[in-house]
Amino acid sequence: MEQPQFNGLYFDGQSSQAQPVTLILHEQQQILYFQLPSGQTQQWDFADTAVFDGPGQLEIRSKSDSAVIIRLELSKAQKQVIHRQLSRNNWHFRFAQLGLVKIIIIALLFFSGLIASYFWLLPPLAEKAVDWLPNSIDQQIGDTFFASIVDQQTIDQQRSVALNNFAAELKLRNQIPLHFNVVRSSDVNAFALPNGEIVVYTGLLRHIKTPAQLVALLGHEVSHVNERHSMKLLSRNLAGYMVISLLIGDVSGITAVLTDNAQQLQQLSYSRSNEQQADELGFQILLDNKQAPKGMSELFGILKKQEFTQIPELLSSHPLTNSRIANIQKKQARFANRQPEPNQKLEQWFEVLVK
Amino acid sequence: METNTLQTENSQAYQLEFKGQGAEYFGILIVNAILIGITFGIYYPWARAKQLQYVYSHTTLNNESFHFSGTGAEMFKGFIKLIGMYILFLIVIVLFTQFVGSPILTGIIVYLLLFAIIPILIHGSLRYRMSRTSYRGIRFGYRGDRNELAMQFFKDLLLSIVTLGVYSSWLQMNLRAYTHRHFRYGNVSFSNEARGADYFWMVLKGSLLTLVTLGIYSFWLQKDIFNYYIHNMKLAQGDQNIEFESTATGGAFFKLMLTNVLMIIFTLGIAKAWVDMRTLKFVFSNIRMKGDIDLTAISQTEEEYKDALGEDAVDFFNIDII
Repeated sequence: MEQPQFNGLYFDGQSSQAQPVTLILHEQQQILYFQLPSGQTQQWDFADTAVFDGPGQLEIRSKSDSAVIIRLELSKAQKQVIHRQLSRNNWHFRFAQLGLVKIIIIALLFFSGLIASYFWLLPPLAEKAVDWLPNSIDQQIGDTFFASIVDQQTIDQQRSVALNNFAAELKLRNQIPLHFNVVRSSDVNAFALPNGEIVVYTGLLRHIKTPAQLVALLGHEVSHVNERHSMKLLSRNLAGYMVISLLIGDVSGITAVLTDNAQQLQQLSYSRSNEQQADELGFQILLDNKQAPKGMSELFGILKKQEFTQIPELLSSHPLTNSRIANIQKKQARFANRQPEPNQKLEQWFEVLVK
Repeated sequence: METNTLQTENSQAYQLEFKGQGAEYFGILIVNAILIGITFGIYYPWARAKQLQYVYSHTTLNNESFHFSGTGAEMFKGFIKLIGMYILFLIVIVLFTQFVGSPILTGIIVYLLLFAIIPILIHGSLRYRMSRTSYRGIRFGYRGDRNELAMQFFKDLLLSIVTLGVYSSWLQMNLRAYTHRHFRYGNVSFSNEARGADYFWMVLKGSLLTLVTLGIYSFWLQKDIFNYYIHNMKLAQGDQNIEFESTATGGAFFKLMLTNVLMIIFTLGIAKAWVDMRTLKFVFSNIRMKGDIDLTAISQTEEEYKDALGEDAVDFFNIDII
């Protein structure tokens, strides 16, 4: 097989004087060799060389001393011959060799993979990350924003005491201490903060007719706290934002997301699966406390009715989908013949609340 | 091309050119972008090396190209160090805030620290960049003294603060002159006579005229600054010299920048590769070299310096030095 030969100039890295050389590529041995005008011959392993493209020329440099150069004046086709031999280990070159179509396909695959993982992989990972966060963070975030969300003036002290006493009679499966607040407002709303502060508006309380319905409501909200749903939501939003900001190179916005989210903590929209989980755990709490199982669907009925007259905040943030109602009705059917046990104290506090 | 009329018996012909092409450069940028994306940013140092290599190798003097021999691996190592230093910096700040408890004092300390590392970064960056630049197999080099540079920088910085920024012209020119004077190309040494006073009056006059002409004069000011920079560079090897002159005109600057802006706007930024190439072409085609140094008789004197920390930091903070 004939070995390709090229004429070029050699710079020895000692002076800027150029020396003419003839370069021979020996493919099988993976060696290139050349003879200097002085008669001395040199040989370089292909693996020890780096090739650099220039305008109408190509430079082959020894990796051990980048100042030693063989410079060849070559056509495009000749350049390819050398590149194919010597640039095998160069990522950029190998990638560029794939051709435009393949590069575009790879780029498209990559970006669709990126988008897919943004929507389907990132949220569960971010929720998982919450498990590693200490509870003190939930506490801090909740504390900071309880003050800004709830105006102390609007708290109905008497009813709040009654609600706390009502809740004290219940088993709520909580890991952190809970505190209940009744806020005077015509809005049909209730929400939970990650520090265990639970807020119920008088606008919603007005529609609740039985202790079981109230237990269902508290059970639902407490389950959001128990399962750290707001933290999961915050983590999801933050993770999403971090990816976006990495892509567009803006990191300062992350703090903005933190404050934004925390401010709107009460009207955040939990994910559908989180809502359903809170429904189910709320229903369990209803059963744990030996309340009428229909309390949950009655609560849904109250909320659903409100949907026609006004769009209650509770619904806009906890969309009461038909699947959620169906899911609870199915569960309820299994416990239809369970008899509730009357609880004297619960009834008493409930009377104070709805008075 | 214009020929020198002032030829002495030993005078040499020099022709500086930039031969980069938008399409080729665009190809490099696009492959870089994809590789950076696929590797979640890890490829960045290699991409940067590739980009610098293209620009250097397409800059030619007497048809022989320059070369950037820095590698992605070197710059990656530098970047890891930079991240480490950044984390250390954050820890120090957090600890400091804990102990002192005064955000204002902490802020002042942070700024002082940031200013304190600027000359160190410039020094490191120049050493790396120069030692990794070569022409005809002969390396460039930077022989400045870090402490000397830092002392000069701090003195000028202090004066700039005291004079509410007026002295910053001196700061810039002193920095320029100091660093350039310590550049080497093999056994060729550089000199630079840039002076703060010249620069200050030039910029003051130019800024006033820019105001009066509603911004139009800014292109002529650009030209004045460019010409001043070029004119002040000199090379010497023994008693042989090379001097630099600029042929750029305000009108040409105006045309270049106007077309650049239009190209960027109408292609939504895609033409950036072409804009970069034509800007470099403009710069190099407007530099004339005159003198009698024989470029084929330079000997190697500078050593390799492979620590890219300064280079990475300067890139990270977006500081333009050369």
